[in-house]
Amino acid sequence: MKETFEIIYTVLTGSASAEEKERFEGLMEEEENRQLFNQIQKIWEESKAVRSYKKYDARRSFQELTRKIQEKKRRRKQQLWIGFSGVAAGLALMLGISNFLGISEGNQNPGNVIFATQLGNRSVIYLPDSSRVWLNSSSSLQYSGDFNKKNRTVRLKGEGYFEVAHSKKPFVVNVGPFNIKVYGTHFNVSAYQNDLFIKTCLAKGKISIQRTGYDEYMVKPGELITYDKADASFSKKNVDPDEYSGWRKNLMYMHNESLENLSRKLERRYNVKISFEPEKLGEEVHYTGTFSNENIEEVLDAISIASGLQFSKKDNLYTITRNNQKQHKSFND
Amino acid sequence: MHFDLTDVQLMNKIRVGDFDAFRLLFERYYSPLCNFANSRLQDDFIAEDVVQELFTKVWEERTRIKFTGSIKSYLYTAVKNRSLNRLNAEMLRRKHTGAFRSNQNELISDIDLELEEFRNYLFECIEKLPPRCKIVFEKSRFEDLKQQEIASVMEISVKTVKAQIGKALKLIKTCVELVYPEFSQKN
Repeated sequence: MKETFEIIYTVLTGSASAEEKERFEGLMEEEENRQLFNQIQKIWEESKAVRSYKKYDARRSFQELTRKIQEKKRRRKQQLWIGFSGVAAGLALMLGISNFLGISEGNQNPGNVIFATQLGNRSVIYLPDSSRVWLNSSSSLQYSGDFNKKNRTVRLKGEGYFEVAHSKKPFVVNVGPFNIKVYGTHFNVSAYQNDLFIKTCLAKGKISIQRTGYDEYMVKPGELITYDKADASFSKKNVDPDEYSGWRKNLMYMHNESLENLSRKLERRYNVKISFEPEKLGEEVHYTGTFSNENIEEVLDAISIASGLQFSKKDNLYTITRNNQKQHKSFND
Repeated sequence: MHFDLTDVQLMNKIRVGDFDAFRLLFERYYSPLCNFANSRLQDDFIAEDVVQELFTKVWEERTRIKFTGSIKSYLYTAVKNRSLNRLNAEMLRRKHTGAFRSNQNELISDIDLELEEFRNYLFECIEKLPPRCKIVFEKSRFEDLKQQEIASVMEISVKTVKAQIGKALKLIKTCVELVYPEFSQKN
């Protein structure tokens, strides 16, 4: 059997001796050997084609490719940032690293720029048109590579305070169910996915709410427009706009705010979890007031003292309960 | 951990930005595609460049990329077209008219794809041969040396040359059988 391969070799190279040829003919009388010959012949012929084949170093090449992709991305971002101040560029670069290679971008197109803040962090974004956006904790702002070419559209998830630079090109904030069209102004939008409401508050200037199929609504300064996700309805009331943008300066304003809502805000600001026992406590108790730079326990202390509650801590979770030694009372409600 | 994933599963991960999945797809196809490109370009440097370029595009357009056939045939087709484009550009540079024509939208045929895969696997089988066996086989097959020539270059007997090549063919056949069962079927 071992010799069969040798004989086939001599036949394939045309170097078989008379004796080898004779033995080959003998072998070919059997179907099994004919089949073997066909297989070896195929291997023999095709192995000629792999003469130039070699093992290419995929690992080295992949590192090279990674560098190229990175470089491309960096250049693209640089182009977007032309005209930025040094500070803004530094900030953008920092965020760029966290967005390394777009891995965190998920399903987005490569031309898009995304800024995102983590839980407990905030940042200021300078847009290519020199507008500024303060991005609150666990929020993201996204705009396409051609921002400021024809129009200025950004997509907001979470909460942002906008100082929009004057321009003939409309500035539009997309918050999902509707758009906010801006005419040069300062305003705050809170559009967290977990919240039941999207709140838009105009500090100064002119903005409008645009929703497909509805008339454009012009918002007046000091107006708070609340969109209820449950029934897709809008409502408005007059407020102090500072209360809705205080987070920018680390101030937290509360105006008859439920403990439930307040806790959501605290969770985002301090990156903690807060729960109540009993659960209805969250809706029962309401607050009005201001916090600035206190740490989470100071804030919870203040809340507890004001309304006869107490809190306990386990890991990252704070649990607020009724203080049994004191009478139940709610502050300002 | 992504190792056992199919191309489609890897691509689904790549679409949502999984760079690790991208690396695995790259490592799976890089060398075979380079060999495929080089068999057309006769330049391994340009071949690597063509394949790298293709994968850069795959990553950058991962969310939009569409496959009419399998991912494998997409990659081979793209390498074929890109190689032809390079050759045409080179011809143009040398003031020849485009000698190569290809229908860019046409997927590589299954027969061509199968043959290319077979060659790649065959190459791997040859790579796995014991060193001495491999050298004798390559001298015969790649350098077209006759039995006597190999014998004198390597200072071995003709009998040993035959024995080594016979052994090489047997080992290669056994190796090919692992992936191509028809090589062991008895009709």
